Amino acid sequence: MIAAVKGWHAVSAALLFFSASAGAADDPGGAAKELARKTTAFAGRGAAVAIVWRNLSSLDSAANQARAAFEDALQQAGLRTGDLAPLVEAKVTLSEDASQYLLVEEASKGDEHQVWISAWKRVEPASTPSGGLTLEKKLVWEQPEPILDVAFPPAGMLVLSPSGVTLYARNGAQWQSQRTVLLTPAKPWPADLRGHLRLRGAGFQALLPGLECDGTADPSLSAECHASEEPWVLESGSRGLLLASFAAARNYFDGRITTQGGQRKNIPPFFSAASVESQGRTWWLLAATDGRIQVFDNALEPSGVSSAQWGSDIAGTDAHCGAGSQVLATRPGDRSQLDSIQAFNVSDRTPQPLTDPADFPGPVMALWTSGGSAATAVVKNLRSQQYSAYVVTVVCGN
Amino acid sequence: MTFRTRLLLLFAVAVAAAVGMVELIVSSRARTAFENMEARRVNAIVAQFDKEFQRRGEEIVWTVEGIAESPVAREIAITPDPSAYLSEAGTLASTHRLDLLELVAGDGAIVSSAQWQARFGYKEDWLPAESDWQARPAFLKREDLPDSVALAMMAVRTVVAGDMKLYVAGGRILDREFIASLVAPEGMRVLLYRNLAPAFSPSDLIDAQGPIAAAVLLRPLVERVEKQASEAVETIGRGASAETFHALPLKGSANDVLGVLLVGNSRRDLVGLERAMLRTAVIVTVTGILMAIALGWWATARVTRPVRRLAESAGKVAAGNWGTTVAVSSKDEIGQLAGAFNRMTHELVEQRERLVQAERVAAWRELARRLAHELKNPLFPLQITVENMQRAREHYPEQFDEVFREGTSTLLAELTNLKQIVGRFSDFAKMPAPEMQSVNLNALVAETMRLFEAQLAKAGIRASAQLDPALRPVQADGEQLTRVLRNLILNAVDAMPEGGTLTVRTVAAGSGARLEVSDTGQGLTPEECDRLFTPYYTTKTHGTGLGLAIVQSVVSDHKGRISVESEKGKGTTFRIDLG
Amino acid sequence: MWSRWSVEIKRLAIALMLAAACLAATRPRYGGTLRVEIHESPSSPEIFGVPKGFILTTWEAGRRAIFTADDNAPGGRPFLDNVEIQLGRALRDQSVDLELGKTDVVELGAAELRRQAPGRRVWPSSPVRLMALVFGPRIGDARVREALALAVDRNAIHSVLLQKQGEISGALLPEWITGYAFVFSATADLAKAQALVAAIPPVDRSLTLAADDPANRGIADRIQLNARDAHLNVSVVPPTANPDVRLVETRIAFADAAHALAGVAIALGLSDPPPARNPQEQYQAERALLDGFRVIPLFHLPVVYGAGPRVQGGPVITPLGEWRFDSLWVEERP
Repeated sequence: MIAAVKGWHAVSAALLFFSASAGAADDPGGAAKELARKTTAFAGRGAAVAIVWRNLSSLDSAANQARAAFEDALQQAGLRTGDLAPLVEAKVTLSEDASQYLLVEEASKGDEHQVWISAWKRVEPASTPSGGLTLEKKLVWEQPEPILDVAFPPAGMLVLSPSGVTLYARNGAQWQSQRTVLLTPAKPWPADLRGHLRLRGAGFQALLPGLECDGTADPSLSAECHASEEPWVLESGSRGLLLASFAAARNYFDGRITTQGGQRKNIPPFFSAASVESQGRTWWLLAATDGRIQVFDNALEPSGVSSAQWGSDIAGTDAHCGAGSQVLATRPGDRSQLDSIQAFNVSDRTPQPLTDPADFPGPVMALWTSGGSAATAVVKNLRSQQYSAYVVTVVCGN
Repeated sequence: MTFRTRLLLLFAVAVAAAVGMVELIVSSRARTAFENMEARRVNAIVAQFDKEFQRRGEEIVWTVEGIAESPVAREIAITPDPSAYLSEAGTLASTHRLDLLELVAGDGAIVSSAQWQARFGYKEDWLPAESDWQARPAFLKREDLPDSVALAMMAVRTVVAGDMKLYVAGGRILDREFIASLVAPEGMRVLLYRNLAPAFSPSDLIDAQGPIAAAVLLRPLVERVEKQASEAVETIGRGASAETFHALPLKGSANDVLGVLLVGNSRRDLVGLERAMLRTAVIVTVTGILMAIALGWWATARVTRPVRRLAESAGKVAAGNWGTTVAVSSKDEIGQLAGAFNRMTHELVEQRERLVQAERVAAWRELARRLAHELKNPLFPLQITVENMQRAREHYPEQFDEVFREGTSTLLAELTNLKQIVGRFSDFAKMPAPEMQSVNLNALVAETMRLFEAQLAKAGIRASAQLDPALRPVQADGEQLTRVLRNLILNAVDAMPEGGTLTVRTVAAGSGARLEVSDTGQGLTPEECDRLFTPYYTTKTHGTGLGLAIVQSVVSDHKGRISVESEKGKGTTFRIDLG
Repeated sequence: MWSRWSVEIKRLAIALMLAAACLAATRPRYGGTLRVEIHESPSSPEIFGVPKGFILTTWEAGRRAIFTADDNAPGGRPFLDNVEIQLGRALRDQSVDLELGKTDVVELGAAELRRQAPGRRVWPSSPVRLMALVFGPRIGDARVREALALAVDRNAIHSVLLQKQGEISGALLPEWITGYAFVFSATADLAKAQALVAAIPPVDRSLTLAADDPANRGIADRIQLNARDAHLNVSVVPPTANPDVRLVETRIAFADAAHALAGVAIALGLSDPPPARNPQEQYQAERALLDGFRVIPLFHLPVVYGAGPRVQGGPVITPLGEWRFDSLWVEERP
């Protein structure tokens, strides 16, 4: 492909003072009446007009509306339609381009031929979110800008986005924005940006590639941000803890970790990590960048590869529904498909699903432990293109 | 043999060889040009051509039949959308080495045409007009091409699949390549006249190279054959250039003469030509060799003198005199080479100075980087230990005591680690100037080795001291030299984790002394030897890498020299020369 | 507590896991080089559009161009490290290279598209290539131009040579941009063409035609035949022979009709269209450019790309046919 860019700058300069689509009608009826006016002027009062209709657009009802308006207007102007010996033959086509619908009339009177076009603007349909299913999940926030993580300090709700951290407070049943601290990274964010919020007592920490912010939400939101290559603190449930370095300008942890016992290690790079308890021991599961789930013991010594077929995002929980603790995992796939989260036990490196998959209206973009039996999941709704944050909780039942 | 002599010889040999080869070839050609053609032989050959012509036709029929019987032909016959096969005829024609191939539907519409692909959809009405193509042999046909008309030998076969039909019409063009394939003996030639225009067209009378010159001379013969539609013989030309032509009519399916095949036999006598050629060859050879010698003599003198001067200057640069220059005495390529040489040596001198400066800066950077790295690592365990204690206090206080115990011991261990790192750097920075006094090196070595006895025994290392009794005391700082020896012995121990032999040697060297420390450990590669004394370079997984830097610093302060010899897998020897 | 666990749920979950066994991680992978082949061979990188998120690091005219990920690109560094584009590769060779795994993204012409294996990912743009006949100054008689316009049988070319890709058009801009392209006639009328030619002196009935892109030579040959049917003597010559009429392709670079028309006018050497405030004026401006038959639009065609199994993410192009390599990554499949 080579775009026809020769002279495009001349085109742009020449068209500087254009205003496109001036004079468009508001609706099909208005457009049809405009054409009817021109037809009347062309044919003359009392003339007979034969009309042929054609619909090349994606509209159904609008075509009928336009046709009815057109024929009414002609009749009100005294023209006769459907005559056997018409003076004027009119071929009317309902068509469309990227931004508007068009009515195109080709009228012929003897050797004389005219073409008129009238248009009205397209209106995008409203999007409606979808929802509802199996693992207990609760939609807590939705916005057009990508969400990286959500946390709930006593003061309300913090939402971490690529542009900043925003504090929302309850106002009845609604969340109301209180304040935003903007993020100003030294370099542009990498593609597939990841970020994490940690609550620390009265304060919070926001971790992003190459940037760290420390702040408080009470009495009002404030934070200080600085460039940082320090490792991130990864939590799993309330007990599991790991320090892991995030690869600069990338979307994964590069494998340099410090264990809970203070040992520094180098392991294969990974997207996410979760600790599970099984048969009285603690294990770490890492969703490695090669697509496999690697298993490590509590000292982060390798213990093999799990047979799990999971996506890149996993999170540990404190839920103990039966033997061992539960881990939440996404489905493998690419970002063009719907996603789901399921809760698993892991026994002898083998995962066993404990719940039905909880389906989401798009891919899961982030999954972070939020303490206790819950995790925060960020989903991109494929239909509305909005980003939604859910709290997904493992409920043990009876 | 000098370069000049070689060049000279080369010129002479090249000229002699070239001329000699030409003479040989010409002679050979002249010899084979001797052939007298007899009328009986010509007739026999003409008959052969006739047979060959027919054989070609059969070959075309056989090829077209093969295409008609192929699965793809049947597929095309029955497909409802033949547009996918637009280029199929081209592919089939190429595979089967046909010049022309058309696949035509039962109604005469062209599905695919190898010779005119754009004609898809157009009608070939002559095909459905014939009811039975299967029995027809090959025939000549005039064929329209995009830019011309051609004479071709064609065959047609029909593919029938149910009530669907496909015509396969293929053939080869009678052109100069066709003529070329009819190999005529020397002294004979084959021509083809293609009767494609209403009147005689000289450009349509071709031989294997294309349209012939003086085609009009053959016009009467050609027109006679066209009119009579039968063979004719005629002699064209006079004297040595006369030729006798046999002309055969080539007829189409409607018995019309579409072409005339002419076979000509030359009468020329080539003996005189060969003699003349031989005479010329001898004269040219002798003249060429004489000129080559004279020219070479002059040319090589011009080239070799400045080259010799350049070679001498290059030798001086190799010996270390980088500031050498060469006089530039001309503006040609040699002069440019001399100029480039001078610029090169000037650049070398400047680059040497820049390199020394850059190395110094690089060494400081390396030190600063390592310092930051060493200090940063113990901080992470400190951080996570504190975090862990906070979480335990908050989320599972029943285990807090145990977590606190483990955590504080980790904290203390890392703090100790930090202190050690800082300490080592401090030592390196604080090294004082040596206090020179008279030192008995042998006694110093013996004392130091005694201190290491237990450690060496435990490591399974056999220690050997070879001390030169003739060694006189040297001016040195005994304490610093002891430190040097300790560092070298420690390095040797680290290099022999499975045990081995450590040898410390002293040798009197004039008014000074030589101290050697050898081990039988894993050895070093040449690259490792080069970098060994760089501060902070270490091949060990532990340690700060300062040990050898300290050794070098002390030796340098004593105005001595240290070197290392090593062989991977055999061992390493450090050698210090003092005084 | 365990009542809602059942063997069926476990079996279903295991079946789901087995079904998903061949898929890799959800997150895009950083790294790798995307190998692309195109048939065009531009003379300088200025004509080449730079894909979003990349910078040009190597230019070998006629051979290849290499784009490297821009670490400071707005929207983040692309996942790919490099995009290597081989220039001047014939469409058929591109198709073979894709089959053999020697390349990742190729252009697909009509014939190649038909031969693609089932399951191959193919991304067509909207019709953004205008194929048209453009007359040079030598042919001053408008009847010659109109005769050629009426002689061309677009249906046969579209059905057979173009394998029904894109759409037949008598307009400069495609239907999806203007909504009124169908108004411009694209029907052949051989009788009328012959009548026009009969009134032209024989010496003026000869003209030369060249296809700017060698891949369109077949279409030029067919137009030559159509013209011959109308008794116009058209010879197909190489593009360097200064032909009387050229078969050209030009890209429509804007989705907005006014900008698109102005761009096409510049590319085809027509006068600048006047500003248009509404579709009626836009139509009249386009009609005015086509009066006199200096340009005869023939088809609007999409650009079509096919991708090999290594390529993830996508789509490779926008509806306007511009590359979107910043949304791709590569994965090695076992």
